[in-house]
Amino acid sequence: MKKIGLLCLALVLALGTLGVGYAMWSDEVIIEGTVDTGTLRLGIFHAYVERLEQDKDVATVDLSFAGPILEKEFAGFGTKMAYEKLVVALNNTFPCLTVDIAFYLACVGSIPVHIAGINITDPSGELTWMWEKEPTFSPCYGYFYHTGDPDKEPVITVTLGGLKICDQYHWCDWDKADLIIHVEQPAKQNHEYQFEVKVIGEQWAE
Amino acid sequence: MKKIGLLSLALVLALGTLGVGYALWFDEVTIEGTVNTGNVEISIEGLSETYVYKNVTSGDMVMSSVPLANLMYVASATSADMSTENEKKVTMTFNNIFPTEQPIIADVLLHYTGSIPAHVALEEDVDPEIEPYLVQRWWVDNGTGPVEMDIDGIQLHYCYLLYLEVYLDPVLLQQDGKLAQGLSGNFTKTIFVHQWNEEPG
Repeated sequence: MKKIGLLCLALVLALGTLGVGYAMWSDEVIIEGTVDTGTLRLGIFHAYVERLEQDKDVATVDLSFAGPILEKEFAGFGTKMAYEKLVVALNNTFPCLTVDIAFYLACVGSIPVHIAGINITDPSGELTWMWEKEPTFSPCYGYFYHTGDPDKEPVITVTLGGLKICDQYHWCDWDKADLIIHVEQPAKQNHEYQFEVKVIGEQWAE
Repeated sequence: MKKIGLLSLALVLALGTLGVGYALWFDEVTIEGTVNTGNVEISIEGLSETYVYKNVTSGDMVMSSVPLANLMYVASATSADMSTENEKKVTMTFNNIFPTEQPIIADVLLHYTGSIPAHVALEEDVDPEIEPYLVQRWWVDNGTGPVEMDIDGIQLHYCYLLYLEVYLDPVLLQQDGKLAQGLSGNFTKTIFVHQWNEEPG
């Protein structure tokens, strides 16, 4: 009889606990979110030698790409890989040689790109760059001279056409630009010169 | 003698009848009851969104709270009420977000319509990839104007408004540059309200 009493007490306590659980009235709202950030990428997907002016057929131009970004469909070109870098190698050049390299620049990110700057430098420091016409215009041009040369005699002149600061590219937009390189008389024989043309893109809304 | 007996009987009966009449005196009190129970309820009162466009002619950025035509769509932060009969749910979607001067915001307005006070418990789950950039700001309006505060643990009374604004921190996106590009992630916030007297506070 005593056992039955204890059992009943335990049952009452258990139900009481359950009662507290049920007694808590509640409600809720769920907020679910998905976040995707955009990408800002400028790439080169195609290039070729448009013109090579030389008296003798001795100089060669090699073009290659480095730093693949992604494959994308470009109107008129089909699906092509876009790259971060176009590597131009001029071999066995001589004064008065002119080479015109056409390259195709595209917005390959999801955010429109605004061209914020064009920097032309010699990473080795042997040559110093001087603008004659700033890249706020197209074509823009200038030349390299030997660093420290008081006369600043042009060694290599570079012209960039079809591209200027403040140009805007929407995603998948592309534009053809030209890089024209001309070797001048003060260039040294049997020597390797380096240069770098950097096109700086930033998000258009800035 | 017989007549006297009959008269006596009639008198007794008459008196008896009179006696019954006296015994019917009474009085009473009635108690009537009406029970109305209260409720705990929070509802979705409103949503708003931000759309980002590029004006292709001028190159300017255009931010709008409604979708626009004839402009180039770039990014958006949207809120949608996806509630069902059994669940109240808002889905926020942040698409192609990038650093901007004004943050790209999605928001939701909640209304506490319960008749008894309630406590708020906020449960959150955010993917670590987006966690550093995700900003949430809560405002509570008790009828005297919105005040920004952390809502976890606060007490709500009838008609309080809760306003949530969610965006990605544009300054941090700008600082992190390429690290912040191409991110993808999800988050969930559950705003749980329960009757106030079930816990201290």
